Amino acid sequence: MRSARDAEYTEYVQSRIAWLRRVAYLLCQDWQGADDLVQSAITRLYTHWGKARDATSIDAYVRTILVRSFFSERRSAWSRRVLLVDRQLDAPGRSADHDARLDVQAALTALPPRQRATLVLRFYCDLSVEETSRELGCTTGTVKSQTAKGLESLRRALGPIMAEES
Amino acid sequence: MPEHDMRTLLRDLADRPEPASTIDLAAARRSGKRRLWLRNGSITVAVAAMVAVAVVVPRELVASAPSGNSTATGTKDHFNPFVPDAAFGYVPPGYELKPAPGLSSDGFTSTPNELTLSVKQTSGGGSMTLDVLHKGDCGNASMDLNLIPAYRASHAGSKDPLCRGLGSGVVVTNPPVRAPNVDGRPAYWLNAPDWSMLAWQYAPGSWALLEAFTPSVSRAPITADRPLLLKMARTVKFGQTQPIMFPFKLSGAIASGWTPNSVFFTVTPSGQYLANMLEETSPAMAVRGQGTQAAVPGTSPTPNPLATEGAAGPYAEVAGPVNLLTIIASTKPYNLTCTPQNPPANSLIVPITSVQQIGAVSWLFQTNPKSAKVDGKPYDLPTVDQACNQQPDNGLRVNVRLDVPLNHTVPSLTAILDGLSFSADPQTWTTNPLPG
Repeated sequence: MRSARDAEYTEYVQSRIAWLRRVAYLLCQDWQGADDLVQSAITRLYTHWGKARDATSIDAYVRTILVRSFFSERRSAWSRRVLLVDRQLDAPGRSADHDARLDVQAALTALPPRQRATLVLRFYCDLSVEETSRELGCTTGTVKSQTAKGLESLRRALGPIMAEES
Repeated sequence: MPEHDMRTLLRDLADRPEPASTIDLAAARRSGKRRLWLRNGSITVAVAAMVAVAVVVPRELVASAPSGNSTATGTKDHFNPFVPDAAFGYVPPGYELKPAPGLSSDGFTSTPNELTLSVKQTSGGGSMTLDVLHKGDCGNASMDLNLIPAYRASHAGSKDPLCRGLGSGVVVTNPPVRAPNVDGRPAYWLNAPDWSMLAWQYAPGSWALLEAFTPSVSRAPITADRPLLLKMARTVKFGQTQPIMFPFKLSGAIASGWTPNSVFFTVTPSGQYLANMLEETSPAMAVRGQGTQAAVPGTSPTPNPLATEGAAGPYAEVAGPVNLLTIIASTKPYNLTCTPQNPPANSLIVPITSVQQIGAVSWLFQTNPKSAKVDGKPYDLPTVDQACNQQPDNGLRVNVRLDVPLNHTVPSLTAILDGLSFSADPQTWTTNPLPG
């Protein structure tokens, strides 16, 4: 019985791990944090596998776990943000494409976590306003305002760069 | 920004080449199983409280330790973290001394209260972890051991909250089962759903825990590991004397007041124990007139989350009224030190404050700011001073870091570095990295 449960769980996680990593990466904006987040989320998923399996969509279930883990980590593992690093050293050569990605990444990183999560859910996970509000536990009005603010912030941050490129 | 642009940007970003994943599915299953197991126990506690069911503790499980001479291990006040007090005896073929998934990647842990060692399959994900607790200590293994009535009895009255854990009042859903004695002392099988643990008293009031994990979807019955665990437990060498070698030594600046907190070490191909991290603590001296608690709110509009951080954060030590000195000397690339290979995006980016030549070493210094804004809110920050050698010296990367609570005097990092010598040459390694 237990082996069957493990087999189902393992098969699901293996098939979705790449997708989970990408969503986590967009939320965290770094791969190390993303892997930590996915590790935490799939551990929680294991303990809730019975419910997840019976859910309408396992993807939705695990995505909710992922997003909540993200917010929880931002609240509790606060000190992880205060690491002493210096990006000036060993800076690799940057291509134009690489530069553009870094700009986008920097602009996304600068957004408050909830705004960033709203954009990721709406425009990467393709959730509706209603679905996003359920995922984030807020009203549809909040989702709309967070979306508008996030897009506006990115427009301001990336506007000059995008204008240059065009 | 138009929404379709946003979609394109996010997809471009997510589709960039990914670094190798560090996600460990086996570890997730293992940890998930443990949580399920413990959670089931906790739920039963709540139900028991509501219906006032009598606690069910099989009488035969409350075993008293046999009388006899205790080992030296069980009678010392604390372990000497520089000399791991136990070592594996029999190691099954195909396994080697190596940190198991779930343990620190910095190696095995040796502290005054607990020693953790593991063996890992050379090919495959199987591992076995040995936890040895000092007499009266509970450590990280307490959640498992607390299911044993005899263990709880031996810690009755302990003031350590870890020791209380799942105390009396527990109706155990997976009750421990008495195992054959180990060296004449009581032992128990702790059966999580899918893996085996053997706990035994290695001296009066002193417990060890050996855990086997085989990450296989369709694995053998859990009892299959039992003969192997028993054999390994019966050959564990307690009171072993092989010391950890340190590739660095301190002198002068921290001559008094600092005590070793943890040593992380690995095993070299020649079988030497080699430290790659040492943590030292000392009582912090409060700045006059600023109070004595680390969690003194500064000018923050809300309590400083760093000061109230629980044990989850990697630098939670700064929450207590102690200074923490961490010395890492390793041939591995920097992880979360001066120039990490993959700096987390949410890090507070601190520039190199200065570059100083001390002796033959060129050190990069970094000090974090006194406060920072996060999510728009200002917070006071505890002091973190650190230095790294600019280039690996003979292949050795060294990071020295001081964590000091808010409103406390900051020891001189320069003075510590001035008294620090290190070398990758095994001939110069020492068994005592402290002055004297």
